Amino acid sequence: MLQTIDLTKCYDNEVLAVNGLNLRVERGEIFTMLGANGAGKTTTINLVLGFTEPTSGTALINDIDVAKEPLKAKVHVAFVSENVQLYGNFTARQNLDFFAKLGGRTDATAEDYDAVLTRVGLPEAAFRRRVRGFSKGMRQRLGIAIAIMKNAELILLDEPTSGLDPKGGIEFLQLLDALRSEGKAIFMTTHDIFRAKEIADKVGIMAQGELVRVLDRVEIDRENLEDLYMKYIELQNSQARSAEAAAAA
Amino acid sequence: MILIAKELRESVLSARFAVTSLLCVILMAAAAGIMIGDLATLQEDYDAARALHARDMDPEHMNEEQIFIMGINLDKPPSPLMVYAAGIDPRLPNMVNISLLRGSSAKGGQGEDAGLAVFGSLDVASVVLLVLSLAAILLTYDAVAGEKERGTLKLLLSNAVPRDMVLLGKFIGRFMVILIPFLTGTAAAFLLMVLWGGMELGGAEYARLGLLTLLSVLYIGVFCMLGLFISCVTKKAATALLILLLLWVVGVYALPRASSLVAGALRPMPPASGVEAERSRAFLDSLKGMMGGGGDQDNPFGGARREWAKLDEYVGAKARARTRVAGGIARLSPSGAYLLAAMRLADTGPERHDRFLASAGKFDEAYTAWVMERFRNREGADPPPRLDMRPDRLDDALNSALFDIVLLAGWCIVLFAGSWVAMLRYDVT
Repeated sequence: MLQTIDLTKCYDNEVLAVNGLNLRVERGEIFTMLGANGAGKTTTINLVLGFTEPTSGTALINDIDVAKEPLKAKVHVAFVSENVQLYGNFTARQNLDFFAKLGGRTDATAEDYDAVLTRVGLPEAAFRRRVRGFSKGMRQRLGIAIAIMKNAELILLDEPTSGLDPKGGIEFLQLLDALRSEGKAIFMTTHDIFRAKEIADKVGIMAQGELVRVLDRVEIDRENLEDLYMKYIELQNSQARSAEAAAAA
Repeated sequence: MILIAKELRESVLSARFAVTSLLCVILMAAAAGIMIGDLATLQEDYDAARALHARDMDPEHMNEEQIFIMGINLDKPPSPLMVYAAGIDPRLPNMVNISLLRGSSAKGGQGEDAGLAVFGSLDVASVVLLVLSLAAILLTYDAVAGEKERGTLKLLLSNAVPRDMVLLGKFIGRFMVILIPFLTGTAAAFLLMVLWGGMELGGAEYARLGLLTLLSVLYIGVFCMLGLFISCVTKKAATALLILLLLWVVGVYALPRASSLVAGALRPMPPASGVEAERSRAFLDSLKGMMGGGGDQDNPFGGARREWAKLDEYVGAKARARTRVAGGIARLSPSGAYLLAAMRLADTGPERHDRFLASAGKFDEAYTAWVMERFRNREGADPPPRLDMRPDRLDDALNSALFDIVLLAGWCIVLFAGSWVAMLRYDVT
C-alpha cells in the first residue's frame, strides 16, 4: 500500500533529513516508526503526502508516485497530525462533514457522522459543540474520525498519542486494531515505545534521517525494544557530537 | 463548492464578521444620510439662488449698473449622485458671474484649487474606500497563513484537492462574505436616498448607481486579493496582518493624500493676488483707451475681456494640470483609481465643472450679444438667453472611467496571479 524507495530529502541548508529510506506498509498492517526529535519522521510523512519534493527516490501510495501524481495518490490516504487543529468555529459534525465531502464522501448522512464520532469515543454532547472548546484529546479523536470517514486505504498518523491520557491511549490502540482488521494500512510515527510495542506489526527505528532497523512482530516480542531504541538514540547523539567536534576543529 | 461553502460558513460564524458587518452597514447608511442632508442643503441653496438670479435676468428689473458692474449670476446645480461619491464638485465654484465690464468669473466653493481635495469627503464611496477595504483585509489576512498556523492547511491539502482550487475557494468564499455587509449597506443607502431623502432618480441615475456598485465590488475584490496574496507569502497570520495594515495606510490613506501635495509642488498655481493684479491692469488699460478715445468704441472693454478670458484659461489650465498630476500619482494606488472612477460615474468630478464653465462661456457670448441688441433696439429685443448646461452622457462617463476600471481589474488579475504562484509554492510543512 505504501512503499518508499531510496527516498531522500536534503534541505537547502544541506541538512539530510531523510536518507535513502526504504520501507513497505501492507494492507492490514501497522508500521510504527520510532525516533528522536529531528530523526526525520515528520519529513517522511511530508514526503509521503507530497508536501515536500524528494531530493531523490520515490514514495508510492497504491503504486502511484506521489511526486508525479499527488492528487491521485492522496485519494488513498488519510492523515492525522500530532496536534489536530480543526476549524474552531465549526462543530464536530460540521468539521467532519467538511472533510468527508472534501475526501469524496458526498453520500455520508448525519447518522454516518454520529456513528463515526461515537466510534472514536467522542461524547454525544460534543457532536454539536464548537471545536474551539475541545480538549486536545477530543480534537485528536475528531481527527481520527475524519480519517475514518474518508475511508482511505492508508492512514498516516504523526505522533497521534502525544497528549492522550492513559484511557484515551488504550481506546486509541483499540481503534487502530479495529482499523487494521478492516484492512487499512497504518503508518504511525511516535515517541511512545510502549504503545508501539503493543500495537505494531512492524517497528522502524529512525536516526539521523536513516531507517536504522526494522523489526517484525516476532522481533518486537523477542527484543528489548526500549534498550534497542536507546542504543540507537545514543549512537545518534554520539555521532552528532563527533560531527560537531569535527566541525569545531 | 465545498471549499466556498466552508469559507463562507467559517467567516460568517466569526465575531470579526459580525463586528465588521455592523460597522460597514451603519457607516454606509450614516454616510448616505449625511450626504442626503448635504445634497438637500445644496439643492435648496441652488433653488434659492436661481430664483434670485432669475429676477436679475428679467428685462423689467435690469439696469446698466447691474449689466456693467454687478453682473448676473449663473448657478450650477448639484449632482444628485454626490450622495454616493461627492467628488470635488461641491467644493468647486458653483456660480459664474457675468458682467460686461468685468467679464465672467467663477465664485463660491473653495475655488479652482479645490481639485486637490478629492480624498476628503464623507460619502458612501469613502466608506467603501476606507472601511470596506479594511474589512476585506481583516477577513482575508489569515486565509492561508492562519490555516498554516492552526495546522488545518496540512489536513486540508492531505486531501485530493488542487491548491489553486483551494485558493479560488478562499477568494470566492471570503469575497462573498465581504459582499454581504457591502450590499446590505448599499441597499440601506439606496433606500435612504429614495424613501427618506425623497430623491427622484431617473433611469440614467439608477444605471450610474448600478455601475458605482459594480465599481465598488471590483475595488473590494482588489483588497480581498491583496489580503489573499499577502497571506500566501507569509507564514504567520500576524505578519500578514501587519504587512497588510502597512500597505493599507500607504495605499488608501497616504498615497492619495500625498498625491495632492506632490502635485501642488510640481504644478504650483499662480498666486491669486497676481491674477487679480493682471485683471486690474487689463481693465485699466481698456479704460485708458476708452478715455483717450482709442480702442473699439462699440465694445470698449472687449480687449480687457479677451485678456481676462486668456487669464481664466491660463489659471484653469494650471488647475487642470495640477489635478491631472494628482490623479496620476493617486492612481498608483487602487484607492485613487476607485475614487477617480467613482467621481466620474457620479458626475461629481472636474468634468462637470468644465461643462458648466463651457455652458457659461456660451451663455456669456449670447448674453453680450443680447445686451448689445437690447441697447440698440430696446423694445424689439429677443427674450434673454438661458443657461443650457449639457447633461453628462452615461457612455461618456463610462469611457472616461474605463481607464481606472481597467486599472482596478488589472490589480485583481496581478494579485490573483501572484497569489496563485505563491499558493502553488507555499510551504505547508
